[in-house]
Amino acid sequence: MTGKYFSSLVAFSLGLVIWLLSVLLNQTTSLPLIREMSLFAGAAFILVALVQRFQATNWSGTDRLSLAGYTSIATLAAIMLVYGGIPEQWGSARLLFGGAAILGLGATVLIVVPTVPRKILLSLWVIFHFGGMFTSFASIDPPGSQGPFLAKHLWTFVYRPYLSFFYLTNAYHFYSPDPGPPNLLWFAVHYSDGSYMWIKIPTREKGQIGMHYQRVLALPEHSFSQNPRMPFTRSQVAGLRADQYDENNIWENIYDRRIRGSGVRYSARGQYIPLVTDIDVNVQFREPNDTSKKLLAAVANRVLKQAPKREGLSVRSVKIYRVTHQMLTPYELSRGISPFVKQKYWPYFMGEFNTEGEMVNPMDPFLYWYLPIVKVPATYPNHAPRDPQSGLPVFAVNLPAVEPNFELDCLEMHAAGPAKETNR
Amino acid sequence: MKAIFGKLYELIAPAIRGWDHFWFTPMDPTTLATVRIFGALLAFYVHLCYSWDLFGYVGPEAWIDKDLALYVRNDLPVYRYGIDYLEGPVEFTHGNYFWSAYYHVWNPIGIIAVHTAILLSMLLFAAGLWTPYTGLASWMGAMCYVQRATSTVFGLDTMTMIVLLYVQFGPSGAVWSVDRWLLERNARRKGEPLAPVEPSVSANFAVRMLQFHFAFIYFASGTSKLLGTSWWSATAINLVMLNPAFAPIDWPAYYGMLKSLAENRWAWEFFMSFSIVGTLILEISFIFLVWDKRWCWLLVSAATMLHTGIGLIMGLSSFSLMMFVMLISFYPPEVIKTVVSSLMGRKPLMMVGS
Repeated sequence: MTGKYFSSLVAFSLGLVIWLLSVLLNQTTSLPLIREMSLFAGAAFILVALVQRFQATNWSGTDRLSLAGYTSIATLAAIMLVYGGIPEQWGSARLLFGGAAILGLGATVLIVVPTVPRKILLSLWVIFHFGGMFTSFASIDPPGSQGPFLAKHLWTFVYRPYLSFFYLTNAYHFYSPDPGPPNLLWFAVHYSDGSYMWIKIPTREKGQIGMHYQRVLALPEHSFSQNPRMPFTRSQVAGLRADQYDENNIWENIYDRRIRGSGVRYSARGQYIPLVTDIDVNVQFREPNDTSKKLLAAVANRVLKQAPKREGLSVRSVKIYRVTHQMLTPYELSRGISPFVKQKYWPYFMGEFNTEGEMVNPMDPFLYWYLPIVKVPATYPNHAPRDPQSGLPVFAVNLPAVEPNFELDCLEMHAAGPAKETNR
Repeated sequence: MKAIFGKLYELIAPAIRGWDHFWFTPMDPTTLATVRIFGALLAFYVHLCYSWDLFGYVGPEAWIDKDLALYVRNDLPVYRYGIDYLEGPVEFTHGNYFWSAYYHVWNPIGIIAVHTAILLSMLLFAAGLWTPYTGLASWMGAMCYVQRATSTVFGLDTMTMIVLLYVQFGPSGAVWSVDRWLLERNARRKGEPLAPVEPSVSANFAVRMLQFHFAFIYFASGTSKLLGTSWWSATAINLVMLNPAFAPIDWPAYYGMLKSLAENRWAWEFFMSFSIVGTLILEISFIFLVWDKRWCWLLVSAATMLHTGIGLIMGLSSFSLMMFVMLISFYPPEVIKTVVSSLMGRKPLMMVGS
């Protein structure tokens, strides 16, 4: 036991000396590696000392005070490091040492106080801790409404730092309110000669690790959060100054571009991408929020860098499609329909990015719009119904297919791009 | 007044005694050690799988590349909801409380070195060597991935972090560990008797935290489902079992089984409705009933069956295994010892009273 007391004292002293050295080195920038190593070496010595000292304690009154002395000095040293010993760029270490200092403070108090107050303090912490879980769970907006005021503000002002530090922010709304269809990311990588190839994630390749599949499957979910509101309409921006909104992103202009897009002939099959009449525009148009736009650009960047090389060609750009894989209904299942028929895939165009990571055409008529993959009558578009205003072909994608028919794959058409001779 | 306080005390005293008994009764650390072994082994496997495409997760050109990662960590605007009735969302700060070595180590050798060190610490923690240190290193190491590769995390990571956090709270290396074996060996060499492992309050506290957290997850998951129309229209399980990204619907046997069921509308509806009712009853009632010994085994068995189903039907086998690890916390130490001793065909070593 005495040996542990002694070794913990030596380790503790060594740790403090190394930390002091680290603080001094922080004043100079000539030895960054030694400075950073000394920070963690000091922490390691102090951790070892505290564990040794903790294991050696007999919990008598004086021994508790001695132990509290260790934890309080370590806490003070950690606070000093946060405010002067850790370089600015080591933000994670600052956060970690800050957390450790708070923990050390709590531990010191718990060591010093007698048993009953210790139990009361621990009980209060348990309530606080699971209060955080409840806040996280309750602050999610219910469908069509807003989460409770108190939970939202408790989350923002009290629990966000605490739960983020411990990665306990999950709200545990598994498969709720409703289990949704899976989403995929498909990339049309374009080469300098105009050709393109598909990269689709995730795929169930043989020999692939299941864990890798699950992680890549999470990517389309985490890289897309829909903008919580539709774009402003002209009447909504009527009272604003011209510099307060983007004329191109007013809903009427977005919709107008979409209609005009249906008047463009696409090279694959030489067809037009029709207007869809039986799906609400709120479902057809899914604009990501600002963070998701940055995430999608980063994903595009990685795909461009990882794209297979082609002899004598360079990669020019990538078109991203977020594809919702609609599920079979029990009726379709009973009829033996495959869940992998192409009509079950609902692609949404998320933009084309060049090798600089910039969006090639922010005015693309189909940007953030649904591109149908449907079976259309063999006579399409000659006898197809027309939009009364524009005269362009329209289509109801949820109607049963009539015979004879052919597959109008607007995804492939859009990926290939418009035909050379275009507008009608 | 004295009478009122006396009455009040009579009312709350049993609750206080119950609370004290629940959280602060010393417990044999065998349950916690079992959670440590399986939890750390699974965490090791989960993080070993990062080795395939490691730079795609945490490298400078990962799915979330360096620039974006630093933007999300340091500069992403954070909004709060309005405090006044007419106030809309207000930007009140920026950045996230993310900490990870992978925000600071960008060169490939450094990344591989950190990754290897983390894997090693997890393996040592599972073995129970230098447990207080390797445990902390394992938790911090796992944090490095979930706080950096935020676009590829899923439920498994949440559960892994919960297990690795609570297992630090108690003496998880007191039994079934290399640490204990080393103590025994040293004692034998010196010819000194080795004190048996005593039950500890911290072991109980750690296990209770894990148990309550698990029960809360079920409660949150169950009650939030009540907001969904598909759970009321008895179609939610369809959406799970027919999900082509998770379910093995490309397996002819699985597809054929579902198709046969769907061909009989009554059979289909009965199966789906009872599955939904069973799921909701289990998830919502768990937190209220599991503390009663009469219900505990039924609920733990039902939860085991639920996660077996999730593992088989949804392909989330690692997630289900981590849920099993959390369920171990509901097994009393005596039961675990009995199971192990019957498996080994002898009385287990290194335990209380052995």
